[in-house]
Amino acid sequence: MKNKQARTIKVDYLARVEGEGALKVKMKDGRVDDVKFRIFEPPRFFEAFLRGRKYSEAPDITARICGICPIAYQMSSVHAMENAFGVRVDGQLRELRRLIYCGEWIESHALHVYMLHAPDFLGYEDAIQLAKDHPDAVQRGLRLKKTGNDLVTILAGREIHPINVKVGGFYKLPAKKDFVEILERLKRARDEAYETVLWTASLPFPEFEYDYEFVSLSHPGEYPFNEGRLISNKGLNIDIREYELIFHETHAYYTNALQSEMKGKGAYLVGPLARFNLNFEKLSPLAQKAAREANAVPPIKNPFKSIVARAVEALYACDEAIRIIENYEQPEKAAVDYSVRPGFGFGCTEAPRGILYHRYLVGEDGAIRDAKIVPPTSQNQKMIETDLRNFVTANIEMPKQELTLRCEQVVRNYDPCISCATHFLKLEIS
Amino acid sequence: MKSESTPTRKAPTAPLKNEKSVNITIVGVGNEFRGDDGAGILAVRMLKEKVPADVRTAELAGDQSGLLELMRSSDALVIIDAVRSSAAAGTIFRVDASEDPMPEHFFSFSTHAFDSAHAVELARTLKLLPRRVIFYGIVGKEFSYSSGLTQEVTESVNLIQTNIQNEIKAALQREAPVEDDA
Repeated sequence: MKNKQARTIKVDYLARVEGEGALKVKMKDGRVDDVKFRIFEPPRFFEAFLRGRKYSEAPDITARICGICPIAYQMSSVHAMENAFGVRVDGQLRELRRLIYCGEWIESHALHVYMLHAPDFLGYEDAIQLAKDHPDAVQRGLRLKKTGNDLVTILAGREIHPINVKVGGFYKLPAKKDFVEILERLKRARDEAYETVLWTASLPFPEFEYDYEFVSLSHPGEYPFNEGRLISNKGLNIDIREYELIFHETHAYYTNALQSEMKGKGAYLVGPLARFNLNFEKLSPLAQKAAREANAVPPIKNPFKSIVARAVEALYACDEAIRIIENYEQPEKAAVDYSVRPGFGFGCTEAPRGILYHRYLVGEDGAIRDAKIVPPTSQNQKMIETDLRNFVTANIEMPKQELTLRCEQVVRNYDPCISCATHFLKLEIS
Repeated sequence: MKSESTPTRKAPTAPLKNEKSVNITIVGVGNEFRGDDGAGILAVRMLKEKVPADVRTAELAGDQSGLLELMRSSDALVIIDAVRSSAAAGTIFRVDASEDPMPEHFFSFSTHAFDSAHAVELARTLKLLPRRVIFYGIVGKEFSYSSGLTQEVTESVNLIQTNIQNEIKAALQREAPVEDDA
């Protein structure tokens, strides 16, 4: 019998993921024998690079780790430093931080939904082929993404490697008039994001569910971006300072990236699906309405439906950005005053792909003595392997070519940012 | 059609003048903090001083969907990017994307999720491609986090300057409105 033979599904270069990775699934005697999700970019050693650098350099240095989500790195680092110094950033400065995060979520989610993930569901090799039959959808995605890019540029000074974020606030504040044009575009983007939610919900989803432990930030008053406690659907509820008591990283020999797991439990899932399931009631009424209209209500346990959660979050980010801009009054000062003090600082914010944890030890002189950065893709790696094992096991009879494509799709459900995870990825299925 | 060339060394040309109001953009693509991936960025910074003031220069990192925006607003676009290849480090590939599709194998060269080759072909599909698009790819060797280019890529970034200036000259001639003597 065919499926009794040893088969290997192997994808040497995973397309449509940020960075480089590979997947290998070995099947033997009708069952999955081995799964390896590898990240093989060279190690990046940002943590070592930070040692000895001034605390104030952390936001700009860490922003260089990822070309897709530099704001997330800046946010986690400034929050960690402010935590170390006992600084609290509130009012309009805090709102501006949420606003800049809205921009990053819109651009990152639009890119992934339309350019990277949607082709999988509709049977296209890539966005180019998708655009031949669905030009209006792709154009919609591009407009949405550009709105996010432009919002980030207003606040960050520039879209890539932003330079305007600092410990305590910003270097330079936007004036109310700076938002006039983007506000109108955000209103159009919000309409298109609503359409996006309904469009993603209409895609054909493979039958697949798993009883995940979803982990995300949770804040009593808002959908989480910058702050909150770490919670899960299985009882986790901790201060971010306790992160390393619960989670740890291991190094698998076949991958450059460290893999995170919950001590004594194993794999867990971070990102849009976790945030959506754990914080649904904190979404704006409009985002909740769109989700309900799309028949997407928590708990969603099918990881392929992460594309719908991502679309709902893009809608929320447009809605939230509009709210913040309409209420914006330029503060007198661009940053709050603070004094450097030695000690540990902890930051955990919601990058587009999930929680991004930073921990620093700062010395008397303001120099960074030690740094730890755990990106979302490192945290999802083990879950991706678990999904691959379970999906292939459930679909062992599927023809190899189709199974290979589906396995790639399983990986892309997580929008893995391999560049970030590389402290070390590639796809083979055998 | 893929053309591969190693440019010869030439004396710097005189500064160019754009008197024809042609929207020309030169864009460097890559991440300057990732070794040779920064080749396009550094090449475009050097070109800034050598091309007419109204020739727009731009830098793009991360994903390259931003290229589509530049295409919407350009008559001619020159893209400079680092590529991975089995060819020797520093080898320069030139593709006239307005005439030919981007070579198949360029799609896996880039480290970006949505790379410049995808952006060019997506623009072609969406009918956003400007009249002229020239792609220069410089084969890199070292893409890990570091501050500089390798020697081979540095030399190619220097060599490519004259070629790009000539591209601009040619674009100005091609894109200039035809004088009607009638």
